[in-house]
Amino acid sequence: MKRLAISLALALLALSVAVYSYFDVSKSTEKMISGLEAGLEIIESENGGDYQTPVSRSVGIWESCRKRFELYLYSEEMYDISLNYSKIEKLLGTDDTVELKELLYENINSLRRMADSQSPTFSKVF
Amino acid sequence: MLIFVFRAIIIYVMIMFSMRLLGKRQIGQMQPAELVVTFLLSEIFSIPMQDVSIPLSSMIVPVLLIVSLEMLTSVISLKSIKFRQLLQGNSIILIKDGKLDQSQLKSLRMTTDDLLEELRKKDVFDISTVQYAVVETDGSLSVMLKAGETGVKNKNMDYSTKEVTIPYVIVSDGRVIENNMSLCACDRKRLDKLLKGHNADISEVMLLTLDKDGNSFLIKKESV
Repeated sequence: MKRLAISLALALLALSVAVYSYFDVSKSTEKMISGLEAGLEIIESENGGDYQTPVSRSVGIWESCRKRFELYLYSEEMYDISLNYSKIEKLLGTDDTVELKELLYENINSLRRMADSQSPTFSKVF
Repeated sequence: MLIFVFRAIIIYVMIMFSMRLLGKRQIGQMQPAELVVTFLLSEIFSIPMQDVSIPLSSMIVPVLLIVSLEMLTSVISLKSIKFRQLLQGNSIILIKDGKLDQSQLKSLRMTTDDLLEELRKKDVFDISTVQYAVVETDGSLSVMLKAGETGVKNKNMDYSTKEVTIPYVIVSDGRVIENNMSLCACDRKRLDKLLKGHNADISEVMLLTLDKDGNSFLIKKESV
């Protein structure tokens, strides 16, 4: 019974960590992507709306998640996103929306790729 | 460099923890599946040591799962004979009553050379002296020599000897092994008589062996 209890506890622990990391990454990237997309939409509408707020929110979410993500994501996956976010943060204080738009597109794609890499689809498992 | 130091310490602790949980067995005593799991774990442990960009959790989670699955299968194997047989297979009698079972030899994909080599490893150089040879589930060969061939040879002392027979396990951990009962011509009635003679109930029996000559040997379960 003791061995059975230990084995089930270990399995539960491993599965909990795996499931938690999957949901953490997918939920957080969803929020980050929605912030970036909202900012992108405002920039593309060209009516001078406040794109800084949703983009800054996305940057803030990344800063709060980064340390946690380092525990379960490969650092290469996060490096480009981190670099782009720091460039985005610098550009938010300027009027250069052209480069900002490019970075936003790039980061949205990178975040989607990162979230997708965690999802246990049939083709990834096999 | 410091990263490697900390990782090495954590990995070492994980290895000790895993090996402690998996139990003490020498490499040569492991079942094939256990050996594969041990090698697999060593590969997984080495992954985060080779590349610091790989998070430790990519080692910890698979290790925990594999260890827990290994423990689970060992618990189920203890409780279920069918599961144990499915996982480990059965011991196979290659030589029975001094006669080589060629169909079993073929099924094991063993040649006579392989068999003779295994016998020589057991210090048996003459196959005709073998009464029983059993290939165990871990692949090793167990040998029982004919009565006249063991120790001081009885035939040299002019003693007449009766051939020994292999004892069969008819009750294991409270469960009756029907196949083995038929091998030693034992039915339920005889089993009940045997148990009565040993003053034991079937649920109290850890191990009961019986040979063709009717010699039985019983080990009772210890109360925990």
